[in-house]
Amino acid sequence: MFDKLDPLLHSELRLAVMSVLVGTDEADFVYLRQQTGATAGNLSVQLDKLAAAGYITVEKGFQGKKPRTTCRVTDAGRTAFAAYVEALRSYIGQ
Amino acid sequence: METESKMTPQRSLELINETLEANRKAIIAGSGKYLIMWGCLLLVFSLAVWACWHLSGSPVWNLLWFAMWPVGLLVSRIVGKGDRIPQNYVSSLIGKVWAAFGIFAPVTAALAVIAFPMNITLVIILLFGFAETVSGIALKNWPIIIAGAIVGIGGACAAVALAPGAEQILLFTGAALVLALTGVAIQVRK
Repeated sequence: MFDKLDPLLHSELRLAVMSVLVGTDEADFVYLRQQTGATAGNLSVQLDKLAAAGYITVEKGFQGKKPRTTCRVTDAGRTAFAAYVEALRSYIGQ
Repeated sequence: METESKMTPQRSLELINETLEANRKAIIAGSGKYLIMWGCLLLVFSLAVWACWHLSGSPVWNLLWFAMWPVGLLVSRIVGKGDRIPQNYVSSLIGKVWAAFGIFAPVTAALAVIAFPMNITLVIILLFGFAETVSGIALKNWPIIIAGAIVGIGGACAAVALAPGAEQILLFTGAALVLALTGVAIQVRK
C-alpha cells in the first residue's frame, strides 16, 4: 500500500524551498531564489502557499535600510516534510 | 524550476538530496570567508606583536592580543554585512566552538600572566588547532581537519622546541597562514 504524497510538497519548487529551510535555522528570500533558481514572482507565490498551509513563516523586515524577507520552517512543516519523505520511501521500497 | 509537475518519487528524493547538498556547500563556502578574515587578522596581530617584542625586547607587547577580539568582531560584522548565507546547526555550532576558543584563550593567557605561569603559546596553539579540527569535522571537510591537526599538534611541539621569546609568536603567524589558506581552499572549491 502506498502512502499518499502531500500535494503541497509534491511540487519541484515548493519541495526545493522546504529542503533548504529544513536544513537551516532561517533563510532569506534572495538566498532561496539563488538556491532554487526560481523567479522572484514564482517563488513569492509558492512561499505564500507554504505559509498559508502553516508549513513556513514569512517575516518581512529590514537589514539596514534594505527590505528583507526571512522564511522559517514551522514544526508542522517539519512534520509534513518528514511524512513526505517517509511516503516517498514507501514508493521507492516497493 | 517547474512549479507543478508530475514528479516521480525518485525525482523527488533526488531533488531533496541535491538541494540539501547545495545548501551544505553554500554554508561551507560562507564559512571560508570568515576563515580568511580571521587568518588575516591573526597574521597582522602576530607580526605586530612579534615585531614590537623583537625590537623592544619587552614581552609586554603581548597585551596587543587582547585587542584582537574586539577588532575581529568589528571586522566580521563588516565582512558579514549583507550576507545571505543562512545559519544551520553546523554553522552555529562552529560559531560556538570559536566563541569558546575566544573565551578560553585570553582568560588562560591572563591567568598565566597573573598567577599561573605556563607555556601559553603551547596551550593557545593547541586550543586553536583543536577548534579548527572540530570545525572541520562539523563541516565534514578534510582540508580543515588536517590543517587543524597540523597547527595544533605541530604548533604544540614547536612551542616546546623553541626557546621562550618573541620567536614563539611566529608560530601564530604560521597558524594564521594555515587558517587563511584553508579559507582560500574552501572558496576555490566553491
